[in-house]
Amino acid sequence: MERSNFTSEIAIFEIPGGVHPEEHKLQSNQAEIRRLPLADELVINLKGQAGNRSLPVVSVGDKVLKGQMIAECDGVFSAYQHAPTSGEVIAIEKRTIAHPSGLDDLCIVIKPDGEDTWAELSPVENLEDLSGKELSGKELSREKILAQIFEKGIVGLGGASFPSHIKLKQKDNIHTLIINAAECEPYITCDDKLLQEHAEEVLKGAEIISKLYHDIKIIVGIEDNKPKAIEALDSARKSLELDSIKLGIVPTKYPSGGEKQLIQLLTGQEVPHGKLPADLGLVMHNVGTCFAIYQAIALGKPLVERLVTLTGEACQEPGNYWIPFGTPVHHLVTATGSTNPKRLIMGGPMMGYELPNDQVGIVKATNCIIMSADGELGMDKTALPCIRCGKCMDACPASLLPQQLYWHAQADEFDKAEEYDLFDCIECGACAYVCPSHIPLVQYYRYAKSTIRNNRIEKSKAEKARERHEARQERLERVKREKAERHRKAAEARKKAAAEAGKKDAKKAAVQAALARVKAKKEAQKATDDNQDGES
Amino acid sequence: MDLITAVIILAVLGLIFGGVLGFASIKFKVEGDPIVEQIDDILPQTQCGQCGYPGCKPYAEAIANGDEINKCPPGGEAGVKALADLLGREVIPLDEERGEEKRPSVAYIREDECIGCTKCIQACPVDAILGAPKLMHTVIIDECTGCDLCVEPCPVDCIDMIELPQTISTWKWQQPEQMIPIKQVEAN
Repeated sequence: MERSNFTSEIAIFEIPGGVHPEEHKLQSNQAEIRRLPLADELVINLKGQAGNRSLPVVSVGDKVLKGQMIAECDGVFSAYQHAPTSGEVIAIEKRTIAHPSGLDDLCIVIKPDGEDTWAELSPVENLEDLSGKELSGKELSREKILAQIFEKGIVGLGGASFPSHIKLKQKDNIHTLIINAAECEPYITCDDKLLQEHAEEVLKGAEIISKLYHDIKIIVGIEDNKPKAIEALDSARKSLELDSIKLGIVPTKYPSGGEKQLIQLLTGQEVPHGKLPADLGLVMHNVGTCFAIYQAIALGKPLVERLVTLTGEACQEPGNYWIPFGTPVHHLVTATGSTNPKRLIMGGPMMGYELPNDQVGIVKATNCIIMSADGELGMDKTALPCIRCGKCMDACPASLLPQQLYWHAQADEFDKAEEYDLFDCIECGACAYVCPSHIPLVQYYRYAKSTIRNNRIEKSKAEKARERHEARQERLERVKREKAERHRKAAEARKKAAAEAGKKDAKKAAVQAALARVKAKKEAQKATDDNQDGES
Repeated sequence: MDLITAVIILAVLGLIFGGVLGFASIKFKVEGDPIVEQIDDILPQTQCGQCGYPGCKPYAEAIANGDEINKCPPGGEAGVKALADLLGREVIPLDEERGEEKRPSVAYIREDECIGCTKCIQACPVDAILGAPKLMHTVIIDECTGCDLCVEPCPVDCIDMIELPQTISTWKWQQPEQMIPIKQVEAN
C-alpha cells in the first residue's frame, strides 16, 4: 500500500513486537462516504456501551423524533441513548445483541417512519467564550461541555465504548491530548475516511476537548499508510490556524493503534501495570469521538449514527457508510447487494468476533463489518500442538510471554497466568497471527480472564454470604442470651417476691401468734379472775 | 571450675531462650486455627448444610480434623480440587449421597400463595428473606445463596428454586475445543 512521505513532526519511539498482516484497506477506502436506505426496523441495544445498561424512558407505541432521548443512563458509568431516526417504538424486548456470547439482552425496537425528522437540537452557545480568560467562567464552561458530552450519549468510538465524560473528568496534571488516528487493524478504514472528508470537524472537536484543560499539547497519532488522511489533516490544520497541533506519523505496524502502544510510540513512555494514561498526564481520544464531540457541542447533535466500514470479499459495495445505530446487519448485507457471506465479523479480523446471527443491530462500538468469503480469513485451520518456537513472544507488543500464558490457561492455573501478567494482555491477536500451529491463543487468554473475573465475583459473593451468616449466628446467640438473661432476672424477681411474701407471712404469723398468746393469756387471767370472784 | 561455668552458661542460655519463647508465645499468638480459615475461604458459603454440618465453618473445622473433602456439592469439582491442593490430599469425586453440583439458583416465593408463617425466614441461613408474621414474604435475590433450606419448611409449598439465567455479565469465554478433531472412519 502507498505510504505517506510526510515527515513526523515529533520524535517517534519504538514498540516491541507487532506484526505486518495484509492490510486489505484499499477495498474500502476508495469510494466516498455514502448512506444506505433506512432499515425496516432498528434494534437499539441498551447495553451497547461499557458500563451499566441504559434504562428505557419510552414505552411501546410512543412516537419518537430523531435524536430524542429514549434511554437514560443508569449511574455515571453508563450512557444516554437517542433515537437514530424518527418513528415509532414497536417493542422493548430481549433480542440477540452484538456480543460474542450470542445471548439476548434488552433492546428498544424502532420502526422508522421514513421522514427522519430531527428533534430540536440544543448546541452549546457562545463557543468562543469557552476560551475566556476568567477562571470562574472557564470552570463553568468545563462543566457545561462535560454535561453536553454526557447528555448526548458520547462514548469512545475506537472500539471499547467507554463513556467519554468519565475519561474527560480528570483535569489535574493532564498535559497532552493524543488523537488516535492510527487505525492499525486490517480492513478497517472508517477513521481514514472520516479524516479524508471531515478533518476540519475532527480538529475542531479536538480543540473543544483541549479547552477542557489548561495549557495542553495536542498530538495526532496516525500510521503512514494513510497519505490522503494526513494531507487532509495538514490542510485542515492550516485553514483552521491550529498550528499547535502536531502530527505524529508512526510506521505501519499492527497494533500501533492500541492505546498503550500509541502512547509508547509518541512519547516513549510505557503505561505501568495497573495504571491509566491519565497517570502519565495523557488523555487519548479516537478521531471518531472527536467528530462526535464536535457535533454534540457545536450542533447539539446526539450520537445516533457512526461511520462503519463494510468490507470483505463477499461485500459487493465495500466502503464506508453512515449507519444509524440499531441497523440490523442483514440489512447492511442486502442493501449493499452482497450475497451469502461465509462469516459476518464485527470489528476487524484480528480483534473482532463472529456475529451470532445477522439480526443483531450495530452498536456504538461497531467500526467495521467484514462479510467474508469462503477461506478469506483463514479461520478454519486446525490447531496443532505447540512446538515452542517462541514466535508469539517476539510478536507480543506488551512484552508478555504468550506461550506461558497459554500453558497456564490451558491447565486452568489461573493464579500462575496472573503472575505472568495476563491482565496486561490487550488481546490484539498478534501472537495467534504468527503462531505456526494456528493455536487460538487469544481465546485461551479471554477464557482465563473471564474465568478469573467470574471467580472474583463469586468470591466476593461468598464473602458477603459468610458475613451475613455470621451476623445471623451472632444475632441468634444474642437473642438467646438476652432471653436467658430475661428469664434469669424474672426468676430472681420471683424468688425475691416469694421470699418477701414468705417474710411477710412470718411476721403476720408472729403477730398473730403474739396476739393469740396475748388472747390466751387474757382469757386465762379472766378465768382465774372469775374463779377468784366465784371464790370470794 | 569448668563444670560450674558450663552449668551457669547453660542455665543463663536456658533462661534467655525461655524468656524469648515466652514473649513470642504472647506477642505472636495465633487467634483460632489458620487452616480452618483457609478451608472456609474455599468453601462456597452457601451455608446449605448438605455436608451434614450446620454451615460452612463447622465443615471447615471438620475437614481440618480429618473429614473427607468431597461433601460439598455447591463447591463442585473445582472446590474439591482447591481443597486437595491446599491440604495435599488426593482429588476424589464428589460424594453423591450429598447431592449433585447444580447451576446457581435462587429461591423464589410465589407471593400470592404465601401465608406469612415466617418458617422460611427462620430457616434462611443468610437472612435473605424479608417478611413479617401474617404478611407476605419475599426473597432478596442478591443475598440468596440458593441453599434450598427454605423450601422444605414451607407449609404451602410456595417456594421454587429458580436457576439464574446466564446474562452478558455472567457469561464467560469457553476454553477452545480439543485440538485435533476426531473423525469417524467407517470400517469396510
